[in-house]
Amino acid sequence: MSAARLGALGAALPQREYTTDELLTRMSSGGQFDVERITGIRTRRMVDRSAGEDSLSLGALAAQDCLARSRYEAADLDVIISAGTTVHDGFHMVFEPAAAHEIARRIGADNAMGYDVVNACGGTMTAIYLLENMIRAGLVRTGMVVTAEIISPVTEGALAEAKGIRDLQFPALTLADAAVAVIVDRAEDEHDRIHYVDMITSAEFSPLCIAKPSDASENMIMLTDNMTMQAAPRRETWAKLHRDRLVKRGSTFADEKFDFIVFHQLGVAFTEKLAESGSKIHEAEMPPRLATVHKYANTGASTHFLALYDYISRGEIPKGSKVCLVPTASGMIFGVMSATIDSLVG
Amino acid sequence: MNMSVIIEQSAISAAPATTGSIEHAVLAGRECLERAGIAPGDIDVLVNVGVYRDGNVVEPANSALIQLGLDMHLDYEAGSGRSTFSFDLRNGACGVLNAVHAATALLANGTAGRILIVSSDAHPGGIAHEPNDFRYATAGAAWLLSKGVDRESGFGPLRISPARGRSAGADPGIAGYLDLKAMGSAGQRTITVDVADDYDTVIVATAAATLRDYLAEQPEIVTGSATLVTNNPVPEFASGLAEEFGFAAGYQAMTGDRDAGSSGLAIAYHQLQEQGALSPGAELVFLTAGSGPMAGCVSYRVEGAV
Repeated sequence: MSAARLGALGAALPQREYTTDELLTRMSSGGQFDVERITGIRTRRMVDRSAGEDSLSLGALAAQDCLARSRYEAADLDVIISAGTTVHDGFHMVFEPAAAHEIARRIGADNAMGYDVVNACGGTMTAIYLLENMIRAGLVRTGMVVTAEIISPVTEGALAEAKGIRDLQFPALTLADAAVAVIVDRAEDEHDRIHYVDMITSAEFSPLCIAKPSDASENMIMLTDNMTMQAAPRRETWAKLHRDRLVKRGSTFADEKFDFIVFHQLGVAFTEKLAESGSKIHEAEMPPRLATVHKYANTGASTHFLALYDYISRGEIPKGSKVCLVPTASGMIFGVMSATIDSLVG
Repeated sequence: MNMSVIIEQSAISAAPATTGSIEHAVLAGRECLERAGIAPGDIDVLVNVGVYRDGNVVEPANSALIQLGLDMHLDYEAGSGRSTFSFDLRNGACGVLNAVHAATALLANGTAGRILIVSSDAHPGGIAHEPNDFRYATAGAAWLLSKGVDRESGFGPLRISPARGRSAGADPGIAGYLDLKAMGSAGQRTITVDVADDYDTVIVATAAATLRDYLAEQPEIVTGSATLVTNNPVPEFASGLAEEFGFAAGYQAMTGDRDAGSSGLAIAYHQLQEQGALSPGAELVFLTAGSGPMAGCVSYRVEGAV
């Protein structure tokens, strides 16, 4: 049995950046929302599919960036898991074939089997959970998760349909596009490894956020009951799960000595509340929080690793840092990943 | 690996074709658990490999909605130590074997003790909106996976090939999509499934190449005493390949003139089981082939003494 590590990290952003105000000038529904004040989102990137930006192009760019920062060639990859919520090939939202196959072709991963994992904003962490297990069981040596999250089509839907402040489409105005790619491979030492990944689904709350084509306009829409999804019991679930996991390991949050924590980038205030819940349940101070929602908005399944990439690129994560990543996603998915990172940095 | 993974139980949804994809998966999953005599709360991981879903809902994962329908660990109870994690794994007809591969790792590591794989497909608009050329049967199936009692039973090593054709933009054989420019306000009941003109020959050739490589890697498999069990991408798929490779028999999912989609392999296995054809010790080779184009195969030995 071999432990796994986060071997390399890449990312790709759409070319076009929008300010929140700029985006809201396109609001055709007559609704008025103070998105920046409520969420702290100032800017974001959104794909231009007419210019060829889609899941496949952005995914391939992130995958190539990741490979360039690794010791591997594309042909070394045993498996590629594509983990975005939806797959866009131009203006086609694709259900088959799996996007992983075409991304493998574009980067030359000639030996990789591929499939897609779909788990809303928990997709990337779900795919890492699978890869970590497959490496630990000796079934796979080196794999890559590619998450090209093209989620702005539901933002377009909200611009066309959202009307009042309690509109279920308001959260769709906080979304944006980005791709990340993560190589997971065998750990070589204790200073560079995934310690654990644990994920659960609280399915009782699965109807609280539904994305689908609209029957009122020519758009995709996302209907979210944010009040219920973000209520205190749900904010605390990650910490309760993590506490239980640590009890089994004979440890506590404070004992773990995390250097950084990365929450789902839902909005500045919400991540503060997640941290408060964490402090309460763990009876411990939370480590410094990585936050990029103000400049990239909520990029769905790619948020955690985009935040990590951003801080690493700016030299703000020292080698050997221990990071706690906390996914929360529609479904509802809760989880926690602990990793000491070395190969990702520098 | 010092363990084996077996199909502890299987089931097919008995619901009529007018039923949606979520309900088909729920019914197949429930039937599977009842046959196994275990409770929904005994499942640690739920994997949905279904592709075509009700209303083209893309979030949350359909697995969460199926988990809700199965009344399976609906909320996390702190301190209980029990929960279910669910997710969608999508790779057309081959997704079930990717799920078996992942499940093998989860079982080997003790991450999970029991894993339920469900599959289902239905036209997103329901049967009332289904065009005659929608190639997939409305169906659902389930496999319950757990550790076997002996190392000789259950799945052998898996081979799941990279998709065939390694130049960018290679024809995947089947492309199923929602055209966002053309859908208008009918996107919840619209889907396009394009099939390449040469799909029948390409998919048979892809399956044959994968099977040939697999048998070369696993020389202990004696085809003359094994049954080839497949999904049904084209008519006579299993029988043709069984004859070509000298299997004792070939069997593919029977779902009329429609492709069983993501449920193909699970349906074929379950139908054989219902026919009493899977006696203890029976040697099978599972083969799935679908869009990519790609194929996967794995040997399987039915649990129990010969």
